[in-house]
Amino acid sequence: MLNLAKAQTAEEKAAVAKAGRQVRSDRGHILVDKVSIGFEKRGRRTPVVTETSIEIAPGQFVSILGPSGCGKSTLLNSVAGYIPPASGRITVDGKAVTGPGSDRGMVFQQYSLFPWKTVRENVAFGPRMLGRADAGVVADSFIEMVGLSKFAKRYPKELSGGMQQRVGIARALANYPSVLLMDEPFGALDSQTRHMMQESLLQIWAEFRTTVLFVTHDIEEAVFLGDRVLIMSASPGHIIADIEVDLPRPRAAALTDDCRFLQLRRRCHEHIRAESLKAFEQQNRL
Amino acid sequence: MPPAGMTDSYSVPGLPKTGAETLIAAAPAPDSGSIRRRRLPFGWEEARPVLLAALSIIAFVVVWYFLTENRVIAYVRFTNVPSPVAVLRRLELAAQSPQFLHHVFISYRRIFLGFLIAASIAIPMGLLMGRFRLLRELVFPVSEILRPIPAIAWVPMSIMLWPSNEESIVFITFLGSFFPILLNTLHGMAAVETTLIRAARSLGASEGTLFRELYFPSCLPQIFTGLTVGMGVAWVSLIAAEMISGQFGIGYFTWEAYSLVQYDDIVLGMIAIGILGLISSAGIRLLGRLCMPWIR
Repeated sequence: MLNLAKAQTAEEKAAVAKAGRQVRSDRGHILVDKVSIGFEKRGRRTPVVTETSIEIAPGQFVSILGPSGCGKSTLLNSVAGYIPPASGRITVDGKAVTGPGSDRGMVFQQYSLFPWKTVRENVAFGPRMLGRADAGVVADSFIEMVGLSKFAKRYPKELSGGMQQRVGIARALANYPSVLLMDEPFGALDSQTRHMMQESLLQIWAEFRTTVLFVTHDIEEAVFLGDRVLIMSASPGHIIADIEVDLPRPRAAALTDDCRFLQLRRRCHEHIRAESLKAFEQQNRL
Repeated sequence: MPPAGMTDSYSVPGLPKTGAETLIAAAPAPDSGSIRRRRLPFGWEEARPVLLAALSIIAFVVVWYFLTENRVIAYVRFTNVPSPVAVLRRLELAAQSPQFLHHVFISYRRIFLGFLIAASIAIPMGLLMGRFRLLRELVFPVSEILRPIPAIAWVPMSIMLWPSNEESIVFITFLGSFFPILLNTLHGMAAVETTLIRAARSLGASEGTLFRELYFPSCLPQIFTGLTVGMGVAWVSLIAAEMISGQFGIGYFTWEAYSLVQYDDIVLGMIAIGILGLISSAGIRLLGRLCMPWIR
């Protein structure tokens, strides 16, 4: 894969590193088949996700949008293999999901970097677990990709929230996962940083082309990033709409003023508003 | 004009504007004052704790000197208590005496052995108990029964259990430090972030790797709390055990001094115990800082 030793000039090195980062585009097919997920609470089963089916083609960027508490994160956690579904089946590239695995990279909302490891050690962790002797080289390449080479020897605590999330993305990608699962990764950032991160995620994805499942409650974010936006109902969650986002790529900040973008946003908004109201009522009742 | 920010904090809703301005004018400017103080040439802020510490120790020694030289009796009797001068003279002698240094060495060896064995059993055990519920539910009840028994209460039992005096004293030291380390490690395990475990597993970490690279470093702050507390209890237990059943050691030295009416040595022993304990806990603090470079 990576052949840095033979590459002579910096340009060649960059090209080799880039080629090394590419993922085969026939990987990353996700199938969620009639999946229900529930939690045991004082002997009673509370359904969180009911009868949900999703199919995602390799290399697609899919946003899952829903009101808070609708079970979208739970669904993502099931695809990641942390929570087994009560019924139904989840497969990635035809293989049933039975637990967490390095074929599915995960980016969390915040504080998921190992505080006792430097940026470089964090990113090298995955490749090292897969037994790669060149884990350090791989890590450096991905740290460069997210523009943090200068901070490779720092501890996570010394970085800003946005930088930490960039490390989180680099760490997840360093294992060349066929699927990247993102659980409101920019939810804890301020809006300026958030917009910057969205654009930089798209740049990284353009290079990497892995399948992305991106959970968010931010309508604009879902539309701006995704090829598709799946909208989930209030709890117990299921998919109520599957909206194709046929906006051209590469996408830049100016796109948010485009009338097609605004139309899509309104469509999502109409769906989500009704569900948010329902979710709000549910929470008030508790 | 005051800084812009101050206007807000001083203006009270409903109060006429002129009144608010008077308040501002009357208030001293706190900022400029503190800046000037910080710029004093001899760095008062840095020197202050050192000076006060010196003052407090000197005052203590002066009071001690006064009470003992005058043989004060005010319900508490200072008639036989050695003065700081006598203790200092004794210290000079002791520092050159191989016997005294041997006592110190023996005590240190016992602490080192007992503490090391306790840490190397309690830490892995705490990690495993934190990870595996069955083990926790199996071991915890016994540990809860044994834990409230002070290590000193183990002295007779320990003498029966172990073939030699030396082993029984090390065992007492071990018992004293074992439970604080175990309990704090368990607390550490309860506080491990689920997100971090998930992240590690998604990156392909095995169970063994989780212990080495996740649970252990995550628990280190609590483990070091346990080690600090454990070291304190280990010294208490050691001194008590040495006083009861020792033939060597600084605790034995101190008790023996009383039996032999060597009152200077009592104080010398006490001071030695204090300093040795201080060195031990400073050593653990230093070790903690070296082991956890990610915390500041």
